[in-house]
Amino acid sequence: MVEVENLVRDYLPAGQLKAVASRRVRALDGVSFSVAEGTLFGILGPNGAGKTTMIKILTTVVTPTKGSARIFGCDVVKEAHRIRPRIGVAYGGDLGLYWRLNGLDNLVFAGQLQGIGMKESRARAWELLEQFELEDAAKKRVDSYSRGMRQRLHVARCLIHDPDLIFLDEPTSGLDPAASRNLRQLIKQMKQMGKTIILTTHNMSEADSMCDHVAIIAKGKMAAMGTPDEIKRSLDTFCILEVKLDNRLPLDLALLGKRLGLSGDRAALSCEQTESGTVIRLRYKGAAPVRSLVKALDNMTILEITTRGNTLEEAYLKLLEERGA
Amino acid sequence: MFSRLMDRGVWYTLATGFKLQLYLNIATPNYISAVFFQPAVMAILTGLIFTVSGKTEHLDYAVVGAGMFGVWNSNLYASAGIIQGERRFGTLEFLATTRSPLFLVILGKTMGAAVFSLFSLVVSMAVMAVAFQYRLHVANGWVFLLSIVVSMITVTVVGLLLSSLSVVTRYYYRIFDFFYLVFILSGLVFPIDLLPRCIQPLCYLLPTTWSILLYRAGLGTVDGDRWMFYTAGSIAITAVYLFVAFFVYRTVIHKARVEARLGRY
Repeated sequence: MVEVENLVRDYLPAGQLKAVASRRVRALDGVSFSVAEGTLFGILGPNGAGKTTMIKILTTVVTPTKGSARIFGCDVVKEAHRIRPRIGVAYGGDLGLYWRLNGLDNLVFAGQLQGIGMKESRARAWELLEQFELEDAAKKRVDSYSRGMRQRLHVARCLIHDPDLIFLDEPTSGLDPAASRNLRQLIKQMKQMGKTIILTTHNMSEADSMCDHVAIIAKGKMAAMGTPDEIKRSLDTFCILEVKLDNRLPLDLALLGKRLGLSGDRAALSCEQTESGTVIRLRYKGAAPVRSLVKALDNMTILEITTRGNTLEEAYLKLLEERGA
Repeated sequence: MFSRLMDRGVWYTLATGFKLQLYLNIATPNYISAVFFQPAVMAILTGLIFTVSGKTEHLDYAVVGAGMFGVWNSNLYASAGIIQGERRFGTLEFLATTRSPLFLVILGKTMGAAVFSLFSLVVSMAVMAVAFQYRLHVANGWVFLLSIVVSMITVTVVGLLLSSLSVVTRYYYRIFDFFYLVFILSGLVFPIDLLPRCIQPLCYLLPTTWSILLYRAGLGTVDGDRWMFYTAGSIAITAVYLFVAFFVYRTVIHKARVEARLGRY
């Protein structure tokens, strides 16, 4: 559905002469990826990584300096008019809405600009206002809306013409946890309806829980791409196996380490006394050594065993560190 | 070209842009002030000048001056800021991603601003009627109506040109500094004949000059028999401006996409 190949985008800082090519800022530097139909694709990266530039190129607002991007088989520059009717865009933030108009009018005008008839636009607008829990504020001016309400209105507006492909630029940015959760639910519903969604976010747990595929962009270059699990697994770091016992550990920690074959790595095993008993933490790579640890603890009463793998955030930060971003 | 004009979608987009601008103007105090209060104040001031000096036969000039000043002032103010306003509120990028061609949306919005500015004329006439018991003498009703229609087209096209030019610079509000010069050169404040001879040909390059002449032909304050000449002049010069406006629009919007300046920057 979306194919991006060696995309490059240079910016000239505002107020600079064109001739001064050395002052150009490269926002995207040879980025390539593809997005399959029906997937939720996340673009992650720090501020200034090039995420929004990527979204703006794909939504035909900005032209690439080099490379190509095709959506539904159409070039984003030469065949933009074929792409626009089938995409919905929510740039998010405080801007982008008609503040002096009410929420309903914002949606109705958006529908009409998408070529939908007046009556149908109105009906669809009410439907979305209800879905996004904005029906009570439908006739209030947008400048009286809270940040979360505006964000929901942004997303509602991009759905007014029932697009096949939806772009969401940091949809939960600046929202409180409850509003973020609600919006994530709505995004999941959109995906269940068969929509293809491309979103940018700084929130790693959000990307981890929602996205089918993610691309991490750092300094305009593709740092990693794959499913969240693939990215987490690609990281050469340790996971933690945690065992809670109902009592004090009856044997020496070094002996336990010896039983587990960890004599050479003291930091791999740790023990903490708590009010309710003992917590043993074992650092490992690959498959969790649950069986060998249970065997090593012999007849002790185990209350709980948990494993904690790498989070996407850890993988993301490691990747950025490696790239000096 | 003709088949495209027959396309329902084109007219629907124009109508949507038109309506959107009307909604925005009504909700914006600055426009309300430019359309209702400025012409009212100007009509009262000029009316007082002519009444106190005993030249009540010149009240027509007060109505024409105040009304047309309001029409042009409010319209050019609104039109020149259409693209910039959309950019400032971050809605230009949204408009650029919709199915509707951006040019048609902007044209529809400019038409909306033009029609909205007509209220200035109504306000100045109403103020003159109430404050000075003045009744407008229309020598030729059809020519007067035609002048209103032609004025609206001219105002729309000039607004479109200004709107497009305003994209070139973020200091677009400097354009407003030239409005008063345009009003003087168009014969809105006083007859063109009073200007230096070397400047007079320049006046006829302005579409405002022709539409004001046609307007006065309808009122009978200039040679009414020349209304066809004024109409033709107005349409011809407006067509040239439309061509230039379209060319400028295409160039600046393309440039804005290349330089990533459709959004707020």
